[in-house]
Amino acid sequence: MSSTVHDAHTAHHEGEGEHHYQPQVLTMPHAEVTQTVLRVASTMGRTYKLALALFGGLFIAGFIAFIVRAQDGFDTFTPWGYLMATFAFIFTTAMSAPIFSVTQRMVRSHWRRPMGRSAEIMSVAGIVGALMFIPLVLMLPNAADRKSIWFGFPGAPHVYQLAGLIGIALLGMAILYVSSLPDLAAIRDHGKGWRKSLATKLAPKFRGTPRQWKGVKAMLMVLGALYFLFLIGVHTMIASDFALSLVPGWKDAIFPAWHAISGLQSAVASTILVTFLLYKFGGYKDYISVDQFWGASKIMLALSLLWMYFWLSGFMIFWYGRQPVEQALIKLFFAESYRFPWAMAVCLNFAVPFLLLIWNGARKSMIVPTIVACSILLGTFFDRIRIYVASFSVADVRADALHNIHVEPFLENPPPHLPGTADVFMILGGIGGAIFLIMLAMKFFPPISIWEVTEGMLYRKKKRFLKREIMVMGKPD
Amino acid sequence: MQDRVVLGHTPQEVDARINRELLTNVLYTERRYWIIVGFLALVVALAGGAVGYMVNKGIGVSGLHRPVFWGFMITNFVFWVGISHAGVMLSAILRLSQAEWRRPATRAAEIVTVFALMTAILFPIIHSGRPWRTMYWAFPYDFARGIFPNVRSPLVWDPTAITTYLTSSIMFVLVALIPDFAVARDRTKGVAKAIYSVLAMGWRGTPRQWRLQIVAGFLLSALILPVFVSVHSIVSWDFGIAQSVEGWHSTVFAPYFVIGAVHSGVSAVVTVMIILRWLFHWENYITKDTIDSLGRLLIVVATAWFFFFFIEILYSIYTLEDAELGLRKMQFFEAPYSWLFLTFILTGYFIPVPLWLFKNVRRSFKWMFITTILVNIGMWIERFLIIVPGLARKQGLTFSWSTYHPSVIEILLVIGSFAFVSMNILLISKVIPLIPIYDIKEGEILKDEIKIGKVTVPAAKREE
Repeated sequence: MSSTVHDAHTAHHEGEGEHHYQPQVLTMPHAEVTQTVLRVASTMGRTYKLALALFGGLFIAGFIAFIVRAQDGFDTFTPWGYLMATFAFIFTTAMSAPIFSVTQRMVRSHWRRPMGRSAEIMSVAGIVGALMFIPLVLMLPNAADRKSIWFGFPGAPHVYQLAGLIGIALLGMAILYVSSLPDLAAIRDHGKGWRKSLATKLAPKFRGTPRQWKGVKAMLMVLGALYFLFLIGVHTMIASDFALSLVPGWKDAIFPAWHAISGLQSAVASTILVTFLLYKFGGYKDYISVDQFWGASKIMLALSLLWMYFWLSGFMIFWYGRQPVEQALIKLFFAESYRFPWAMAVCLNFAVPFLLLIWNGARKSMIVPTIVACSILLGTFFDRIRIYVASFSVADVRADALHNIHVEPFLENPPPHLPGTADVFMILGGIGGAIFLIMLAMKFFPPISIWEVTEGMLYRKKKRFLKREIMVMGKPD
Repeated sequence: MQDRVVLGHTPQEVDARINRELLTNVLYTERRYWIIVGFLALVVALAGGAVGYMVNKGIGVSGLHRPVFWGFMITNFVFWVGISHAGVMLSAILRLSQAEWRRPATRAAEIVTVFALMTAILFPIIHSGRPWRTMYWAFPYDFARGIFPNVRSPLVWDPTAITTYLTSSIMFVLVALIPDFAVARDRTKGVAKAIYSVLAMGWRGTPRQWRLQIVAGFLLSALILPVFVSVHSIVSWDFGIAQSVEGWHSTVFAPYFVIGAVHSGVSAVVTVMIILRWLFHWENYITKDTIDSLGRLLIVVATAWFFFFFIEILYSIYTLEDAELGLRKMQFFEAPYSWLFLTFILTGYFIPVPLWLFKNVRRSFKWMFITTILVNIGMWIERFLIIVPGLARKQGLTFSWSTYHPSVIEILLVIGSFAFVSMNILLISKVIPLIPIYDIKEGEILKDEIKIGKVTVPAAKREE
């Protein structure tokens, strides 16, 4: 098989060692791509099963911890800060990941083809996200007598929050379903057992007629545009209702946009990490090359710079403003109570990506973008703790301003709220549950999109140009 | 359907035709060119006269009056800084992302950047009323009083950011121009040849020179990006860090200004390109594909700008503070601001963007010309609405109060600034090719086709 690849591994090593790197051009027969991907996707080794059991077990442990914590009631929401931070982490990373596939499909980049599906598969984490979100949204104080973006809309904020989150989860899964339709048809025709029967139910009529192809592509565009709008909207709503409007006097128009940028950055990071795992342990070495990491790491670098720029733009105004409420906010979120998670976030979400990814040699490798992706994911986790645990620890959400609640000399700001045992299990359970579902889904939906990879093979050719062979890339209308 | 312009059948034919057609503006001049330049020079002279009159009589001849001390001149400053964002957006970002369709658009965008910045920087100086005194607060030197300017003041940030951006933009244009200067050098005589020889810096097109030129282009693209972002962010902080004016102390101003600048800048480039296409007969280079791609880019940029506009309004009023509510009420519902607001939101977004969704509109020079002009009308008004109503609203400590009515002098200055930029673009077109010759030639070499079944798909060769 490797001889028919033109040539993933060699290209990778060439890229690291020589001046002229040549992008990967696959030349294997299309049927072989289908057979290989379906075979690898339907095989489940012992390690995979053990990992599934571990993450499933963590999810159950997290659920038990939730029940234990729930016995104390939902009257105050400070104890639920870490559950919110974990939900926000899952929402910012796995649930936002399909945006990577959506945007790259819209700009028609060819390198994204082998990694778009793994981004879409992560949308199944929306099930765990939605489960965690229901108690959180129910304990959110109603909009009466407090500043909120809803201006007294009936049912606000609960109805709109739930609708938004369920909408984004469903849209993500709809994108996964529609983009997988041609591959599900392949499972239906070439698969075995439960996969075949499930695929037959999910893709009963797809035969690959021009009309059906046109339909799939049009549907992906429409769903993609909707997903993009929804994602930005839901980031804005969550940032507003679960952070901004819980902290009296926090008036910060850039914060929701910054939250969304963080979502885009983490989406790319999650996708890079999953792609690396698929390359290293998943058995898809023929389809994944350094091209994917090179392309995605440029976006990751740009988003890391934007992350810092958006933060600085907001901070600058507070820092220069020096109003009492602005000083109290700086102390709470950056300088005093939660300065450790903030320092970690700046290092991991900005400093590490910037210092490593500015080098083309580092971008043009597999390992450095993966290290940066891990750094970003860890940084985002610290950052969600900083934002949501801090916001949930404010004593009176209906006060006029933060500095009026915690009056000196008694207490200038609430002290950092550290996680207890139940919090740790809820964090592990939430993240474990999300990984469990993603791993499970990868054994049904092929994590390498067969049709997009084979389509990409049509658009990329090798050609002799002057003294060497270079790639010619098709640019359809 | 993509345009497939065939410029020749052999590489030599293609080369010769590109040289001939793209040097038209440098080597030959039509009569209408001088008529247009003459008219623009007249308008610029009138505006220059207005400046002279204001310097002689004092700033009182403008419409500035307590409490509105920032009016048309500062609006115009912010507007032209915004327009200047086109160059880097189109040139640096699209070069780094290797977008093939950028090729005919980059030079015009870079030139617009340079002249827009030169125009912008004039306005705070004119606005000071005593231009020679600006050195006291802008230059990092204790000229007279033994006191260095306050480095924490936007009055120092602005000149620093703008001059840095102007210097790097000029460098960006000049580096990209070296191969084209060499082409002009080889086709001119006498003094012109001597000047082009100096500017071409010994360019012979050796592999080493090309490699250095490409590396320099990429490096400058990457280095200019932070400068590009910082310039309008700093301009936005002129407003953002002030607390005393309602509506200005907003955390979102920096990215909101930057994306708004890109919106108006790219629109201006489309307008300029369509005019140049008409003036110099560049139908083979500025094609429907070029403006179609720019139209798509504009949809994304405009929608991102609208998102920032929306959150700026939403998060300013959600705390229900009387001052903010009063200001927004004045901006949206009280004449004349209400009419201006309606015009701005319609021309800045709700008319052009829905139209750009139609491919026929994006591929029509007439419609793209109209819609991009509309965008810039809207974006100019947007800047006015950010600056003036906040100052004009009567507050507790405003004892002497009036609203703002621009004087004839200020109106002349605004019109003059448009004429100044247009005239400079036309004048520079007599010296340099406004479509990069070497870039177009490279595009022709890299152009290819792929056969997929019965269909032929346009393709491009990729060296990396």
